[in-house]
Amino acid sequence: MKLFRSLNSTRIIIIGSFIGALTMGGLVYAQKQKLAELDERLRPSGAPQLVAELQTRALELANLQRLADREQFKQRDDAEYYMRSVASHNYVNIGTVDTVRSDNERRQGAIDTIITIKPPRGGKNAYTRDQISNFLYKLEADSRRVRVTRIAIRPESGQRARPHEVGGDRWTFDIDATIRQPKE
Amino acid sequence: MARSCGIRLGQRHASLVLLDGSAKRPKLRAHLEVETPVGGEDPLDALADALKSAVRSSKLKLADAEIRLAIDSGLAAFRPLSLPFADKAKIEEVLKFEIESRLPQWDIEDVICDFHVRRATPVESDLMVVAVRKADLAARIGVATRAGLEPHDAEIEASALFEAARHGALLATDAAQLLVHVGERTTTLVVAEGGRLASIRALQLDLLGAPQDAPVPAEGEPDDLATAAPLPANVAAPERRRIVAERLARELLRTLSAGQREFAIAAVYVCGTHLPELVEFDAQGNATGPHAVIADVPLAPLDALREAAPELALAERLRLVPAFGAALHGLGANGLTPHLRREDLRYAGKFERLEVPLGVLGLFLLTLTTALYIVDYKVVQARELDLGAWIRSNDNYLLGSTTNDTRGRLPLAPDAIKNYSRAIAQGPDGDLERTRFEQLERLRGLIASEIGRLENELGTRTEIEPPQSALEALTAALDVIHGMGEQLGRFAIREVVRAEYRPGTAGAPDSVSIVLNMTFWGDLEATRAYNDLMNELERQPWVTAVARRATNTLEGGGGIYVDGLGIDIDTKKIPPPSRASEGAL
Repeated sequence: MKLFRSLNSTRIIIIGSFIGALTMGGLVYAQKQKLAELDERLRPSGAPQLVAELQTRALELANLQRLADREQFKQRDDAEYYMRSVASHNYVNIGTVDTVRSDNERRQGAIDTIITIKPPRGGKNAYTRDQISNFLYKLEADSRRVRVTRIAIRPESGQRARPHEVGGDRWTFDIDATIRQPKE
Repeated sequence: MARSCGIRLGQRHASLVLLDGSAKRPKLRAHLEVETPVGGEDPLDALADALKSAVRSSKLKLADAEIRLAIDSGLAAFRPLSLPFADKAKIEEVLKFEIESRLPQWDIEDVICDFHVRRATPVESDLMVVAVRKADLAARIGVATRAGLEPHDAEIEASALFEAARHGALLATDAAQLLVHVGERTTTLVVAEGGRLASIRALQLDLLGAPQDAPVPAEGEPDDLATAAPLPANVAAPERRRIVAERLARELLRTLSAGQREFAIAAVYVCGTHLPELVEFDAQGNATGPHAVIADVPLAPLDALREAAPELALAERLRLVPAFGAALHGLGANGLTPHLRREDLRYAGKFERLEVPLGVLGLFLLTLTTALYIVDYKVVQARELDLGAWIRSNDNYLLGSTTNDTRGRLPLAPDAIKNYSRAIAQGPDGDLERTRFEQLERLRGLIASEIGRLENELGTRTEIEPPQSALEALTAALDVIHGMGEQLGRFAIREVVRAEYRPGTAGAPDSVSIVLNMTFWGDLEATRAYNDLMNELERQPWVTAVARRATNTLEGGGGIYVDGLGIDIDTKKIPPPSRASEGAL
């Protein structure tokens, strides 16, 4: 009460202006902090770099989207079905193949699913080089997950020529396609 | 009807005046005087007892009277003081602080300060400060209280003297007057100029030769009589009175001849103890005696009670002047407004003097901070716009611009990315929870999330290195053979015995091992071609080993053949094929 009794207009102005100045000082400080942060953000290492990185990542995403469109063998698909579908592709035209699946932990922490692909036993087993090379190419080209890890190409059975002879350019094959994935 | 009782307490003498009526027309209802002899008990105790007895014997009824006490001026110190304001409340707040350095003989907490305004304008005031030790005042109030006359307020003789002279119309507004009260111990000199108080002095001129308290030194007057050597106690009374009269006359002369006054002193009014060695007045107030005229200024009686108590003798009226002046204050006379019974003066001053500068400083700071805030706000707005430009530019890059009809680099963006990018490109309201920079970071997060989802979908998101491709290794080896062209002459790859991935071991990295069976036709050219092929393969940085095999001559000659030609390849070292050499089915 004594305080209020001693208040006069000058003192009210002093108290009010100092409280106001302190409040405004706090706001100015906060504004300065915000301004400093914005200046920092606008430096070349701030927003410009972030936007550049963002656009690079966008291009990476666009590329991945294109790959996803082209991907024939997705994670949820059956590997042997994928191999057979490639063998039946118009540009390959190998037709039915025999597949044998095995799993092998050749690398620590990873499981290699190895699909051994051969022409069908007892069926047609002679192919042109184009057919075999297209088959191998499409196995890898249509999927980022598949690697052809073993190739054996021999003249068709029964047509094996001697070293000085030229064969009939009909070939048979025996390949492994490997899908490596982390061990669960 | 208002009643007022004024008491003047000296060293050995006390007088009391009871008035009623108004301050303009007071009536003297009673008066009494007591005096105690020199020596014996404590003079104040004796005075209290004598006063008490006198009041009792006179049967004064003072219950409803305003009692005012006038004390010996010699107990007070008088200091002029100028302040840069005239507000009374503010003056009271700073008074002690301002006067402290001017009273080195006393602790400021031990004194009571009063003030009289000599001149004042709205922006400054000229004061006469009166300081009295609390103990001295309390002792005098105690004397009155013991006599059953507890005063409602107290003052010094000088202010009572001034009020009495004012009541007696002795203070002309166009002249200066010197008011003199001769006390038994202290003689009070009051100079009035133009009807206003100008100065007060208290002279220690002991008429009684009694032991005294230490005199209060006056400021800036080393030659003052107050500091002159007191008369020895054994000086005979007549001689003492003569010496005192001489000293007082000299002091009056000095006061009259002092300069620096607006008006010259036109009259000297004397009251108090009868001192014929100085001046004597007849019933008509005519002055006679050795000092009836000093410096051409005649001495006159300060006969303030002339109208209020014409029945009293002049000498008696002159002794009652200070008590009369104090009683006038009790009736509301306000020539001066003495107020010594105050204990609540604060010791303050610095803040009051700093009030205006502080107010200006506060307003300046408020203005400055407000201006800074506005300026910074504008700059922040501009920076936000700059960041917004980056966001819009990014949106145009990703999704294209409808205004410029350009396609974006991310035409198949999922809805989450598309909607968010569009929303924040419209303005900060697109995401109120984030700053503009955080909005960009959020967009980056959305894109990274979609990349992660697609990598999971494609099965490529793994830290595990994929096996090396036997197809890639075989293609690279065949590409070298193809590239040698005519240099190899006629040759045939009779069989790809194997091209097989070999996982690395502790000492060796992953690789692909290729084994070929080949035939080279020609005589010498065949061997050279074989050697050239080996050399060419060995030159390739991605070929880690070439297993040269012994060659055999074809049946019937005409060439050589080699079985089990081994080539080890590290496909990680194969440079990526140029786009032109990439094939597609």
